[in-house]
Amino acid sequence: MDSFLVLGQKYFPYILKGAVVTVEITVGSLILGTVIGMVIAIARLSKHAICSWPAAIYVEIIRDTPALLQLFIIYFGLAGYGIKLDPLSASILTLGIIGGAYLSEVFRAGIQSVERGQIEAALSIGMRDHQVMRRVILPQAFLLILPPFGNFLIALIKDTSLVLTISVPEIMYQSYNVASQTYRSMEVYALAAIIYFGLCFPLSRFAKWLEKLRPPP
Amino acid sequence: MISSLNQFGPTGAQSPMPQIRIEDLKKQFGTLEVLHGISLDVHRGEVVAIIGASGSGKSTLLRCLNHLEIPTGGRIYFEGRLIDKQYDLAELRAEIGMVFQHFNLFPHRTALGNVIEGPIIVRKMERVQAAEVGRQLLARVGLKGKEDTYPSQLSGGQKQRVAIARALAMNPKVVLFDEVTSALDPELIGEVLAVMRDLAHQGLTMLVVTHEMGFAQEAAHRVVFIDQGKIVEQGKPEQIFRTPSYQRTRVFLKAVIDKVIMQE
Repeated sequence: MDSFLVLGQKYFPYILKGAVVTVEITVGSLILGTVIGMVIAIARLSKHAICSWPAAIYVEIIRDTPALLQLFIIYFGLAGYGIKLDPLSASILTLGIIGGAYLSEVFRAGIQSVERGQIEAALSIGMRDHQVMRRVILPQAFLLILPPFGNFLIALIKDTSLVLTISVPEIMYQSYNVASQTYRSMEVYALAAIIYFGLCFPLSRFAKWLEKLRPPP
Repeated sequence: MISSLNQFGPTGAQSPMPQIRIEDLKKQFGTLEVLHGISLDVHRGEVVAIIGASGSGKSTLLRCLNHLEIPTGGRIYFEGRLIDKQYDLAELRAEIGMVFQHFNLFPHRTALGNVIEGPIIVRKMERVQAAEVGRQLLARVGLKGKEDTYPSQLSGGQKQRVAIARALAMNPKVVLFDEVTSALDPELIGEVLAVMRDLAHQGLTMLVVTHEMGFAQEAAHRVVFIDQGKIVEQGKPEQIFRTPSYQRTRVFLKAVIDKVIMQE
């Protein structure tokens, strides 16, 4: 039996290739989720029920059903209706949709934390709604949004492991393959854990540091 | 400097058409009616002080004028034009400045940044030109040298003067002052009132909701007393303060004077 180090040398590059895919999925779904989250947050805050209701329903449906199920609906379910997505696209789409629902709550809380007086001051100098949002609300909401946004990103990286189930060659899938060939589950998954930890730990420290940047009330 | 002093037109000149005409204005919050039909004309260059107990509807009246509150009844005309659904509210608000009780300065921008925000974003002015105007305005409210200071580093009186400069930067035709000294420490009230007195003398049209009777008496052309959502009486300051016609006005004024004496 090879030692842990030899095993590591042999398979670490293979699992690391999975890390590249993990990062791809993370970045893709983070961008998609941010865009969806922003749109949903603004829709939910709208005075018009025709905007706020569908947004609220979207968030509830996503929040109250399992992520794995959502992935299967998008990958296997849609395929039955002729929408055949490749596994990577289906993964990014699913995690983006899920992320959008969660991030919309983060954005909404940040936007609502900006004082009413700020909005009135901006309106009173003749700003239009989108200018108020861009120039006054978002810059002030930004610092409040950053820490929960960082936490979301960490959760997202870990959640990408779900897509092993539709054979996307990310960290989890690669390690699973190695483990089933070598029968060295503990060591292989430990390697995977080191990679996940290496990705998440710096972000976690960064999110903690950002919390200190919060402006005094 | 001279030109910027004169930007509000001739002092006290009264054109036949009122700059603002308010007709039977009503505002209801849920089932509570706060304004029960207010009618008032304000002419160009006029300084109107609006006095009354808290909760009488003074601030609501002011906030209806730039539609921060949407009236539930009556009509408001700005320079002869009815403010209705077709009226572009952003355009209206760019013409009617407002200064708030709690300043509402943008905390993420410097004093100068606050002042030039409107000219740059709303008026699409070049940054260099806006900064030039902004510096002049800050100097005019006595804040030369504070251009790069953030609001959190300013005193209440300084904040409020930045807020006045921010409103003036839009070159408004009317400025609404909503209890602008009420949140200030007593020793800081004077510096803000001095700036407002200056503006009044330069012919800016001003509607001033205030508890500062001294200011109303010396700077206003007209004093309007509001009680329970209605105008009880209005007139020249000396008339309202010396010979009020209504019992309610007398009671209010006596209460205010007693309070001032108590504080001193």
